Amino acid sequence: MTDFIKKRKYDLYQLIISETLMNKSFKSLALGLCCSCCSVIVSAANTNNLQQLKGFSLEDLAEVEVSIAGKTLQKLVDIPAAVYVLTKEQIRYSSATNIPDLLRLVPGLHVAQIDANKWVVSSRGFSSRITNKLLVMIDGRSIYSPLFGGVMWDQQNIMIEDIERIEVVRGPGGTVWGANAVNGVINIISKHTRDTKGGLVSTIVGTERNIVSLRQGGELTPNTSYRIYAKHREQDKSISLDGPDANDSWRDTQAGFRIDWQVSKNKQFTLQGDIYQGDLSERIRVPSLATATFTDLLDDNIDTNGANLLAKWSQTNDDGSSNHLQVYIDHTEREQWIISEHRDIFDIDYQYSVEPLERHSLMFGLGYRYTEDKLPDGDINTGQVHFFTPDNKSDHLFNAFIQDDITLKENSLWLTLGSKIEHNQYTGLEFQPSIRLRWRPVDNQLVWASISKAVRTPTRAESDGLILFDILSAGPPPIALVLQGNTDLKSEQLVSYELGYRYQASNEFIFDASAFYQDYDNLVSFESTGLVSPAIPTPIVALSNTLDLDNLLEGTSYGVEISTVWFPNDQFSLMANYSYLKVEISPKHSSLDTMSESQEGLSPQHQFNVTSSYKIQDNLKVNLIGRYMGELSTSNTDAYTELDSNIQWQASKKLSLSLAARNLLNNAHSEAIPAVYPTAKTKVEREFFIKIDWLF
Amino acid sequence: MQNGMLALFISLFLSSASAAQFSADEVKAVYLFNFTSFITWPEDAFKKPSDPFTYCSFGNKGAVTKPLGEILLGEKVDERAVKFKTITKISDIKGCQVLYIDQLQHTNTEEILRKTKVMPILTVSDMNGFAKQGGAVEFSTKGGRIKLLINVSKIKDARLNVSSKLLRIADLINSPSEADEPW
Repeated sequence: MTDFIKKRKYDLYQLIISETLMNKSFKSLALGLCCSCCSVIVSAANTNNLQQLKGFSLEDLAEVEVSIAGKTLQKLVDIPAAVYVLTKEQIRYSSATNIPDLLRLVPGLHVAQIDANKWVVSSRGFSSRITNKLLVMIDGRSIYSPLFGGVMWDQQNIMIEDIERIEVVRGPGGTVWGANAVNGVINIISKHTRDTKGGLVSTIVGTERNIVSLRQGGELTPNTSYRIYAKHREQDKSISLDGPDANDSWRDTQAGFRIDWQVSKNKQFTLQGDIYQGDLSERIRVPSLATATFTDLLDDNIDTNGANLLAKWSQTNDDGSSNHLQVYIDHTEREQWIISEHRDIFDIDYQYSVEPLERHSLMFGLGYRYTEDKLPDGDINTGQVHFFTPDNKSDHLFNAFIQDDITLKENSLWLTLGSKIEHNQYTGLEFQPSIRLRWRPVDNQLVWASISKAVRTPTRAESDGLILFDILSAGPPPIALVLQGNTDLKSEQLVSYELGYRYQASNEFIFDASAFYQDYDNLVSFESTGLVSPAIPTPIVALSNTLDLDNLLEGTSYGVEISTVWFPNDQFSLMANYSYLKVEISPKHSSLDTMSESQEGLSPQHQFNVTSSYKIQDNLKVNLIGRYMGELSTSNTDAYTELDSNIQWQASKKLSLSLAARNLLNNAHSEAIPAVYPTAKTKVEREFFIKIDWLF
Repeated sequence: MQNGMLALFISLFLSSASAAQFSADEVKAVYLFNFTSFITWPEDAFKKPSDPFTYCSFGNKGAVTKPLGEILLGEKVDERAVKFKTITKISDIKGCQVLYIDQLQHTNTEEILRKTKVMPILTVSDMNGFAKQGGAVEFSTKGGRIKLLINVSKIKDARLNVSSKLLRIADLINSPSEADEPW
């Protein structure tokens, strides 16, 4: 039995489901896993468990941590979509010190560092710093930028130690999450305060960064727990492509809190918030009158700050129905050469799952989002050209969705139908329906297929912006690259066809594969108007190569994503992921766009990674992560292979130490090249650090 | 908004762990089985010496019954064979020694508790407030663990004898204040 307990503890690392989860919050259901109806499958393995459990003493029994969502869990294997969850144990053993680095472990995601404070994170193609087809959330709060699309990863600084898990859906999620969930959805979920009691000081000291985090948690009343935290990061500069140090060091500080109140068994309330401030550097090429090339290098200081507050109420009723209400406000500010942005968002979302009827599991939701921004004009006399018309704007976004999960054949065949209906101020009404079928031929296998539609709505910059990005040639006359927004821009459309298969052979081996074919229309094109006088007179630029935005591209992509997990025994585990992607983009006949076709090579065709964990002793663990990333043909970035490694030693119950090395195989390697926005090209360096976690 | 939405989105990787982990229902079932080692029933709880020890589940909702059925298979309690049955009417309650009412059953517990008030039946439920309502044992979930909440006076009314070992790991309500209570 001791062996068994060991094994149990080892496995527990994978999962401790919180009660919030249990309450079947929102849209997961929406994707069609009815959690309430179907019976549990008791596999042979589970029966075995039961016999083990039967031998437990009363005291042991009272200490067993249970998956409260036990019933649900079995069903989660049944999600008819390409999903992956990064567990807190994977997070802990990864040696990643920021969210983009964590996401490198997810099959199919392309993560690349542009410089010390900029990343690319994308799913199924179209990788760029502003990957505008991927929706990202922290505890349900969207961090997708309405200005350019994409995520400012440097402004996301929650404590890695506070992350419960990261859930990733590749492929469209528009039916449930609404616009911009075209190629994927990422939700970063923080721990319940019940699981972060006591104090923690976590320190990272290393060659590339120093991080210190403080956290204190506890109970306010028997039913209310809390935590507060503060975190500070100092990040070293990377090196530029041609050798010397790049000017991209940065530092930021974030603090926040969370309170969870279990009002009663079926009702809970959460209140959480964060506040942060950051100070970053970058070197960019800017227009200048002082040089012969009409460009100069500017060391820009970026100031960021923001705050957010989120409240959530959920209630499960005795009849199996449930209500969820979530409200948040989010304020962000970013001041830099290329843009100055102040933004406030208010978002409210309600969801109701109807008491399950015989074959139907119905749910619907309503939501509203208010966004207000201030985008001050650039200083034209210094060549800083960014104008928005209007420079203050408020948007109202209304949405509703409905979904039904229908049992076609008890315990083996289900159909999920649903659609989001959204009204936004750029393109009006948008429908994002999907149909998903899942079939369980035998208990441990699932086959699923889906057809779904998703849209990406125009960003504020694409609609209303006029931005000078770069001086293309000194001339005479000098020619500038100017991006001109288009208020008539339509939404980008995707219809995706997906097929997936999952197989679980005992507890030790899992195989998951998905294949997709995605058909895009109305992709945004850059229509060159030829050399014209710029719409805004500047002292420098005589002519500009203005790019008008239009929807004259179409494209397809196809690929496969495969992941496997193998736990041969409780000392060792191995996970391997592979993904293949092919993107094809073509301008329509009427298009003058000659550059967008090269977007095909923004993402790697092949990606492969392997994670192995080996437990030398109960308190000593070695983890190795090998990563292969295919070449990016658009930017001539070579394929590379890298290795991350760490040794973690649990010195005592209160103290753990780890020694980590990242990017061991190369002194420095290039992962991504800045595209439109001309910041310095850099390389990612080999990195070593020590991490000390002290609980008190 | 999209908060919980992804929340349920646990991938197969989690489920791999889940298989090795215990569900709340399994733990509850094992508790139910273990109670017989720490509780003794009065003699008049059984009509004949040959009567089986009977576990009853009120209604068949809830997933505890499945692991419970498996656990009880071939077991004996005090030399008695163990029987497991589902009842749907309160009038069928006679002959039950343990009555489990799943919270998913949504039944009128008040009536059941009134009816069984002085009967030698151990009433158990995972319903919130069950012990307070007059049930003998309530499964409550705290910090991801299943804890016991025992209504001491109800146990007394039912003339059940509970060992101190069981009481020690449980939270008690309606407990007589005397420290030398013979439990």
